[in-house]
This record gives sequence, C-alpha cells and structure tokens, in this order.
Amino acid sequence: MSQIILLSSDNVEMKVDKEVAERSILIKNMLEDVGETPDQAIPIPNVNEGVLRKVIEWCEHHRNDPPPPADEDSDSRKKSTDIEEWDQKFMQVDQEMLFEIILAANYLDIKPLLDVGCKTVANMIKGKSPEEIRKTFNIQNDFTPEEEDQIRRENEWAEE
Amino acid sequence: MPRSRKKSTLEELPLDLKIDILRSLGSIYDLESLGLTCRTFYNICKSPQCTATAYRQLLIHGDHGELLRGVAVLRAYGRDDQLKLLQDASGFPDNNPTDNTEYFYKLLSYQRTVRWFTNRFFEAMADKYGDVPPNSANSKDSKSSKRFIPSRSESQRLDNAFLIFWVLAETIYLFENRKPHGTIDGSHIDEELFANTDRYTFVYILLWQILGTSDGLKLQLSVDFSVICSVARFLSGSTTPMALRYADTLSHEKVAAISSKLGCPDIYNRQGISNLLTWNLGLDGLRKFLEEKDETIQASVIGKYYNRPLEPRFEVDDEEPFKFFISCFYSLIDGVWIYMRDHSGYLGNIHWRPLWRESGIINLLLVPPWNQADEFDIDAAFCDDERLQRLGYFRPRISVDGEDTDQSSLEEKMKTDLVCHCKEDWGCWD
Repeated sequence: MSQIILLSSDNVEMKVDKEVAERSILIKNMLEDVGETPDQAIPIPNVNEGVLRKVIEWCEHHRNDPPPPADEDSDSRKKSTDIEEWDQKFMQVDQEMLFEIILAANYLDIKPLLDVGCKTVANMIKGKSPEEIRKTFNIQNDFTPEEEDQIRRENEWAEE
Repeated sequence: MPRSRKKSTLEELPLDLKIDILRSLGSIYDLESLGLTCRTFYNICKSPQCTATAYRQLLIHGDHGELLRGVAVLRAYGRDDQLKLLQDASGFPDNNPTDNTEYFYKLLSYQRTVRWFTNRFFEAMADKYGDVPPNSANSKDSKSSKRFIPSRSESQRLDNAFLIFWVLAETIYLFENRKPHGTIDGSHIDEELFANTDRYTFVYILLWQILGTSDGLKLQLSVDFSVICSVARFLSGSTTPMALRYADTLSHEKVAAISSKLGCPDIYNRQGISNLLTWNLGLDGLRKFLEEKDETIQASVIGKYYNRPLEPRFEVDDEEPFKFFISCFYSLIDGVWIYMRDHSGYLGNIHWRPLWRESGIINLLLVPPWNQADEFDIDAAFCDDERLQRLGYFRPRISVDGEDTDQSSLEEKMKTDLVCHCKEDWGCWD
C-alpha cells in the first residue's frame, strides 16, 4: 500500500497510508492534481504535529467508512447530538485541542470529523444556562444588566 | 457600551464553524441560551445566516417541530384551503420541509407568536412567582418591581402549552366550520366523523391523527394539562378588559337576549369571548388583537363574534350549546381527560404536576387537576421544582382510586368558583 508524507506546521514529518490521508478532501484533491504519489512531504501549514497526529488517528479508525451523504439535511443531521462511542472517547481532550481538531478538520476538509467536533461542542452547550455556558467556555458577559434583561424579555432571535 | 475584552476560543472560531455548531445543538432553547452569553453569539443568533440554517434546522426538527407542523397542517386545511384532504397531511408540504422556505417562515412566525405569548405570561406571573432583582431589594415598592426570569425548562413548558392550546383552537375552528360533505373521504377522518362525533371525541381523534401515532394510539407529544389550563386562564384574563368594555356599550335588551341563551353574561364576557376570539382568530390573530392600540378596532372585532350565541352559524350538538361558548377550552380539556381516563391505554403522555400550597394533602390521580382540593394551585405548575420549593410549595401524597373525590364537572365548578357580576334582572343561572 502506497504511503505519503505529511509535514506539520512545526516541521514534523509523518508517514501515512495514502488511503487514510485521502479522508481529507484537500489532500485527495492535491494528490489528484499531482497525478502520482509524491516523493516529497506535503506541507500542512495550518496544523501542528499534535493535532495532525490526532487527525490521522481519526482517519485511520474511519478509513473504511462510506463517504458522507451529500444532502446536509439528511437524517444523519437530524439526530444532531448522536456521536459514536469511539468518537466520543476520541474527543475527550482539552478544549484547546478540541477546537484545534475542529479547525484542522475544516482546513483539511474532513466533513465527518468536523461534524463530530461540532456535535461534541454542541453537547457541551446542551441543556446549560447562559451562565453555565460562559463558565464552560470561559466566555465573558459583555452585556450591561439592562441589555441582558431586555434580551431575555424579547428573545425572538430570528429576523422577520 | 461594548467593553473591550479577550474573546474565548469558541468565539474566535470562524463564522461558518460557529453556525455549524449552532446547527448541531438540537434545540432552539440551547441556541437562545448561547445567544444570551455575549454579544458575539447574540449577533450571530440574530443574523439572517443563522435564521436560514441553524434556526431552520432546529425549528423543524427540534423540540416543538411536531406541534408547529400540526398548527400548519390544521390551518392549511381549515383556513387556507391548501390541503383538500386532511389525510394528505402526512406529506405536507413536502417530504423535506427544510427545502421549503415559505413553509419554514410560516413555522417561524408561529414560533415567534408563541414566544410572544410566553413572554407576556411570564410578565403576568411576576408578582406571584417572580423574584425581586438584587439591585432593587431595598426598593419601597418591591412587589411591583418583581421580575420573572424563566429557566430554559419553564420557557419550554410554556411554549409547549401555548402550542398545544393553539392546536386545540385550530381543531375547534375546524369542527365549528366543518367543510361541506364530500370534501373528506379519508380512511380516518371521514364524513361520518365530522357529522356525528361529539366535540371531545372529534378533537381527540384529530389530535391523534395530526400529532399521534397509530402504534398504540398514543399522542406523540407530552401534554401537561395543568399548564394548558393555566394558559387558558391567562388568555381569558388578557381579553377580559376589552370584552367588558364592549359589553358596557350594549343595550339592556341586548344583554337580556344574550342572557336568555347563555345563562350568565358576565362569565360569557370573561371566558366565552376569549374562547371565541382564540379559536376564530388563532393565536397569531389574537396577538394582533391584543397589540391593537385603537379600542374601536378591538370593539369591532369583539362585536363580530359577540352575537354568535344568538345567531349560530352551524348546527351544534350539545344539549346546552351555550356552555361551549362559556367554558370552551376548560370543558374540552375536561372531556379529553375523562375520555382518556376511561380508555387507559391512551393515557401515555398525559400528565400534570401535583403541587400543593399546604402539606399533607392527598392527590387523586384519576381526578382532573381543576377538580382536586382547593389547595392545588394550577397556575404554579409551570414553575420549576427549585422555584416552587423556594416559594414554599409541597408535593402531596398520591392516591390512585380517589373514591371520595369531587367529581363535579368543570361547568359546575365554574358556576360555584367564579364570582358572577351579573345584574339581578339578567336572571343569571336560574
């Protein structure tokens, strides 16, 4: 099985099965553009070693998964917070790493991983009060008390 | 004024990723809680981009999607003539409603209407169940400065009750404005049902048809009758001042004519007009009515329905049809409760919260909440346990058989519980 080399933003090289790396649509398209398996390392400038290793770990585990459905409103999205057990354990990382994985999945165009990341954050929000959400994500309340009161009274978010 | 501050990692994510996270929340209440954390998320939640994606996803597939679609189906059939057969409702408006922008904006407007009523409800309950904000604790007029800051579950509970109430209202509208024979030939909702069924059975079967499942004949939604009853009382209270103002303009002869049909014009003004307005206007129409600043326009709307008992537009099937105008939603809920009690298999999702203002009271499971002992406070049922404990409420002991109970109907209770302000020569409740 052919392998390629990925180069993280902190200049660490990692050998990966081509099939695994192609879970990333960005890398898949790059390889298709080149036309053959490159000898040189493919730079991944936005992702550091630690995050890239996590992303590769996820791709290894999901290497045989079928491609995600094209329809974004399919049933898989309706059950919005369902996450497979393995993915749940995989996402048990500190918040900094969690957001780095989400950013990396977005950059590398790995939609299923991005979906798992977003669902994990959504689960951390689910059922919490505004104050609990602030504590969880270290968000500072920048409303004045009057503004907060007004917003609570008329919380009709969507515009006409 | 915005304060300069370091943003959290979550806030620093690109907008499209934040929207992706919002779409994954699964509930508009989570979306709203997030929007209350800071300006960044408040602005995102208000943005058209969020409306078009996250809000749409959560509204249609989220907590009240079933009820919102129920309102849409009943209106499409009963008012808008978009559905020729109610049985077509299962595919209404198409198999993937997220693709239908017009439909989404309808659901959105229903949701906004319901939220408007929920917010007004909380304002009305502030004196009784609210708290004095810390910064006004020393105010001389602390009672009037009380505010009710709802929890997520309290908002959810009220939204749910108003939506169920709206479904009931649309169903009554449908029943009272029955379409001509021949337009309905479905296997479940058929001519015979329209022609012969009593209101309670009709409403229940329609609820089951729109919001239920054929597997075990259970409603898919969870119905808390205590909160619905509280909602009914709130709506009556909201329209009463306008109804009384209008009634004061009527001649003695007119009132006497109404009295001959209704028994008690005062209760008609306080309850019956509210019922007529609610099912005829729908909650969105009722909101417009309540927001109307011009009293003459409000009076003309009330006047349009005031004569209904004198000039019935349709055949009514009750022995005493006037009662329906007076206590419509209460007696309907009473009827559905009794129907379900006698068909225990249907009771699955019906519940209510037994809460008492005095300790040591026995709670009777088979008796509707409004027929329990007077110490039961129906209005309090929308509150969270934590709030009620703070206010000094108790949980009762439970009795299932309830033999020596007050089984009187709500009609009877209304006569005895309400203080009637009818004039002596109106011959009220002779």
